[in-house]
Amino acid sequence: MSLVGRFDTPGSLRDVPAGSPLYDRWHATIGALIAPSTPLSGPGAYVDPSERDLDVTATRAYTWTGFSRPLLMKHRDDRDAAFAEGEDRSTQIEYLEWHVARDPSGVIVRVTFTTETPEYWKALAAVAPNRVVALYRELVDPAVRSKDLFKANGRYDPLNRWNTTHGIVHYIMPINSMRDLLGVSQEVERTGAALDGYGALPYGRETGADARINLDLWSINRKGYAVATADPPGPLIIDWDDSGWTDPAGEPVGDHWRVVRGVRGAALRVVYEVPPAAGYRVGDIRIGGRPIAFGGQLAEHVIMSAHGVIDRGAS
Amino acid sequence: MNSDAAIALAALAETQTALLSGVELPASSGDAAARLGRAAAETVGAEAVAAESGEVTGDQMPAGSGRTPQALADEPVYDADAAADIQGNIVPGFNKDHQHFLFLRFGSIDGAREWVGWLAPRITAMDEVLDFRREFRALRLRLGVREPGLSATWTAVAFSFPAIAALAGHTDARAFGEQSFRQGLAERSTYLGDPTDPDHRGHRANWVVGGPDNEADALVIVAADDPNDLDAMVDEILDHASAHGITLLFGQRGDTLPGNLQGHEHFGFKDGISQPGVRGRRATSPDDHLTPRFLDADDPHAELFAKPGQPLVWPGQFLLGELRQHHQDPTIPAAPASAFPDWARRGSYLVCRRLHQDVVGFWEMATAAAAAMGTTPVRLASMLVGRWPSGAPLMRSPDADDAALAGDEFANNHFLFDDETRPSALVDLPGYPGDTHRPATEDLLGKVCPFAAHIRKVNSRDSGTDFGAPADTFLRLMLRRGIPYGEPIAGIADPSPELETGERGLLFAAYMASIEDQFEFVTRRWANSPVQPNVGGVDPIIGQRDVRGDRRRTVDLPAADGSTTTIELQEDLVTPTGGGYFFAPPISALRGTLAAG
Ligand code: HEM
Repeated sequence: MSLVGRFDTPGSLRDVPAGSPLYDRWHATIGALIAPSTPLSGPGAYVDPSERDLDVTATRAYTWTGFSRPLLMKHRDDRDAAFAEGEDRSTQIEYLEWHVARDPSGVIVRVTFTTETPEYWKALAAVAPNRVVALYRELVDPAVRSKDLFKANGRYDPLNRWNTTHGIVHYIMPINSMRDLLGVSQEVERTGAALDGYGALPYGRETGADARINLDLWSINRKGYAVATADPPGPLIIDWDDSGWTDPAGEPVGDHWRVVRGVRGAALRVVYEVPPAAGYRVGDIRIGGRPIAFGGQLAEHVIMSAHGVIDRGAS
Repeated sequence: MNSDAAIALAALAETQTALLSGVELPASSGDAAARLGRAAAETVGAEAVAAESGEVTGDQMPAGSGRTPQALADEPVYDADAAADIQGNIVPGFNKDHQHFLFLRFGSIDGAREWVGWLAPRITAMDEVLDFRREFRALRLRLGVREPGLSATWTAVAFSFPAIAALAGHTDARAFGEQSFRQGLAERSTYLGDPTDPDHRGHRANWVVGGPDNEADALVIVAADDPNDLDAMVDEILDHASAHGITLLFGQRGDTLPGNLQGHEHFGFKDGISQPGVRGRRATSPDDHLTPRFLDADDPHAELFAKPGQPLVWPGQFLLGELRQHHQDPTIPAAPASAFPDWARRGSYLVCRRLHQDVVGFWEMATAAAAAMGTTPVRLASMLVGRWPSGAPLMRSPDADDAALAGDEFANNHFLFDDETRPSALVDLPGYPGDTHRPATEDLLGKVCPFAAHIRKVNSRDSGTDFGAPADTFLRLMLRRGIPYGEPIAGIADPSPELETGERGLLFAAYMASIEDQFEFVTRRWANSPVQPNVGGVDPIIGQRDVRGDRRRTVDLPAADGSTTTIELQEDLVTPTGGGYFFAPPISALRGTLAAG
């Protein structure tokens, strides 16, 4: 029997009742993105756990940083320039996208992070459009109307205003998607001959996420191991680090992270907002002594993960 | 101290390192002694420690060797002016057994400028240190003794941001793009995980130097083979300083540990084994590399390593304005940094942290954890470091310390983490039998060397990280120049209560071109993080967690049966007690802008 019977929804969310066709469709969506077996580097393979029986002898969390590595590399001598450019969703390329809300004076009051994929929301929209509207109202704004989200032909519009200019629900950056995550996971080592991580250099992709996933999976494959995505597949927020963040009095900030979807350690949607009682705003916080002017300054301290299972016996 | 911990601590005195003997390392062909301009003293030089442990920077390769090392075409060539401009503690590093760190506060700015001008000719350049090393090795071979009796006293200097602003003016100071330098260590302290509780000893308000109210303007580092020479130079510098209205905020003497523990830090482990190799050479001859090359051109990694395990790094990672490391491809350079005033070219940022070490607490913790895991205290402690006390890497000797491995400089740093380590092809080394030690096997899952082990946290070598392929890790390396301070307790049987509670630790010092991308990156994102670069807990040596005052930390350690045990570390065993962020200017600037205003 295969390891996974039916791929679960991201974060095992139950946005619609059990028995909804969403769950089978989601399984089919994921299944279509994973080949039965792909040798990546050496004798092992990346396999589809819904088609393969696996004796899981190890698990692995592939971790990376939420802020765009390409931007930090482009602006090595000017971090502010990297953060400024990072406000544009199209640069938020590490499977973490965020939306910044500012007060009328321009000071940041809330940053909302998501790791949710367009594939999931499209699947949900196809089976439960009303539920999508309700979730948008809950997550973004009660003012959301159905016609804001669905085109005249009834198709869900991922680039709707509540997921772009006026808020965030899921990824829109073209290479942030379940297809890309699982695609990069099945990418074959370029030289076909690398015996170690140095042999895989120069490595062309600039994001931390791609490098992390590629390098780790190639090395696992070189051992002859079979490796697969853990279930449910998908990127998560595994941790964040707000040490050294101070309030206007110079004291450590309180715990202002609110997980809205998923759980701590495996979050899909997280809101960073200071409760009114605290008497200051996100933009009044300093990180290591530097005032917060951009959402990317927080994203730099958000840590992402994807999870894998390893069968050391089979290849 | 509990008795098991006391036994483990005392046993460190037996730590052996079997140094390679009879190996002819590439010898000098030049007239270094003449250029050195310093006669070999009759006193016993202690530089041998450095040379023996692999610090052979500055030697030339043998002529006519059958096998040849590799250098990339773009590597910079330093002419005499450049080699006399770069401070010698940056490249190749003083690495002396006795050093004194002087943290100074300026009085009048005119006085400070005059004193800088006086100091300028006393600052030791790269050239002098390279020549000394070459001559030292040549003498050693010629005389056939370990310590040929060559000694020197060297000086380095660096300034804080406010001091640069005072000496060079605000316009020039603002040209320094490195925000962390401009802010200073105290302001970055809690970002590095330091205690937020003002009552904690490690809180910046309680530091001996470098806190909000006692930041130093200048840090002078004097290093000598002979403690008397050291004292004489320190006195001279302080006399002139005080004559120019400059006060000593804090002074800290550092010394290497005695006997078998020479070159070890206070917990008892050999330090200073793994350093990046700076690319480039002097103009004197085509093979006068700043870092001697021992890999034969046939070796698949010959373009990446100077010596097995020693990565070659473009000099701009340590010297402003030089070609930097490319973020994807280690064999091609990236453009130099640009955010600094002209006169600062070939200078380097210096991070200094005075880190108190609770040695008794460390061995008590190791003893308790060892009992819980059914292993010995020394093995457990070695898992926390990633090396045995001798310096032998766990990756190559998982079960016991290995004196011969530790002493073999071509083997003791030759290991990867994620994949099997293959033998290196070396240039001809007469007398060297080759690396015959057990090779490192892959440890992708952290079963041999825990993910949290200090050396795996701060340099994950061949592994991918949270921030890229191994090419990115080259961008994080720094030139470590620290030395222990305080009276040792490692290796002492029945220490007195005063000795047990004595003040000791590491004067951590490291040079780099970006504080934020090197020291701070490694500290915060790797050492302090339980999930970066790999899930597995924080660095048990230097990792700090301060979650709104809660400083408990955990480390995952592999057990013999393949399972993982999570150990909770209740206390900080390393506590920051001072330091600063400084800029070490090129020597020309000491004579020019900084002295003249
Ligand atoms: C009291 C504090 C510390 C102790 C006891 C300590 C101890 C050690 C020891 C025993 C080694 C192994 C020797 C070697 O590989 O060269 C080592 C290596 C190293 N340490 Fe530390 N260390 C301390 C602080 C730091 C700090 C603050 C940093 C930087 C953030 C640091 C960075 C490194 C690096 C980069 C290496 C070399 C790793 C490699 O390339 O394999 N250490 N340290």
